Amino acid sequence: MNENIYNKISMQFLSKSENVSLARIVISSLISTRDISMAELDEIKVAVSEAVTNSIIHGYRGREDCMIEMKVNVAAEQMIISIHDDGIGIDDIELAMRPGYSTLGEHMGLGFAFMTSFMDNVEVQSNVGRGTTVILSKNFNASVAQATQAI
Amino acid sequence: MQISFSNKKYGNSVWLVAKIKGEIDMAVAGDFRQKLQDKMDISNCHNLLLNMRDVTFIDSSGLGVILGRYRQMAAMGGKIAISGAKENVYRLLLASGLDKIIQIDKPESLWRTGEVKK
Ligand SMILES: Nc1ncnc2c1ncn2[C@@H]1O[C@H](COP(=O)(O)OP(=O)(O)O)[C@@H](O)[C@H]1O
Ligand SMILES: [Mg+2]
Repeated sequence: MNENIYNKISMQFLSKSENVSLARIVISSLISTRDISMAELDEIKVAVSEAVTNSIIHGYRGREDCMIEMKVNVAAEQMIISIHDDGIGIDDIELAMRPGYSTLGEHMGLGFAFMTSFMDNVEVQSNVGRGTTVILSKNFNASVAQATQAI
Repeated sequence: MQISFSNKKYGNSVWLVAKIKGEIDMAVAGDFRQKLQDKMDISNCHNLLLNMRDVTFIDSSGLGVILGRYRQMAAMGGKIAISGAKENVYRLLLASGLDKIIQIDKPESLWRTGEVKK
């Protein structure tokens, strides 16, 4: 057991659109006990919403009978959220992450831009035909982390 | 997400006011788009005001629907405006750049703290 881990979850859910809000609710309740601002919590919710939405509409092309896996690690100083689908994958990750780039009409191409601007780090691993994993990290305020560890 | 409509007269122009409540994400984006479109078609109104006071969450799926309606209105020579957005929703509207094409009222809480000018 890692002493540093404050909380940890792993869950799988169907690629149904109503599960986007489920993912947000899980994230909110996991970190509502942390000392972060409402604005930061809202931003993390947006990032998670974007990643899960992408798995459904792009990864699985809107199919509702596939599985998405979300893992969350909350430590004193950092939180790491990974969202994984076994969908179509991304051929050119750099291009996909460019603000405004989208392969679907009526979509703004801002999902990755929001993830990048609202999180401290975004890592994308993808294999065409195999799936995509998006890893979102958020660093908590250093002084808060120290205070929590001291308790 | 719930949405209700009314017509309001501001000066010489009539506005279709859409009051939206709840969260706007991909689960409701289609419904949101359809309800706005249907009402815009029958009301024959070229000005649309989105009252977002009761919107608690929006992401790029919801913002995409607003952009789409802006384009539709602009093509007919109409306008679209947004009022009442809470801080979190307002920040997303700015981050998406929609404020460059749509008139958006600034949240009171932000001009009170001096973060934005009234
Ligand atoms: N999980 C995924 N599986 C496959 N392709 C993806 C995935 N996530 C993102 N993409 C690709 O990256 C592009 C950009 O994503 P994003 O920035 O969220 O914009 P949008 O969703 O509006 O298209 C998408 O249009 C899609 O081609
Ligand atoms: Mg997206």
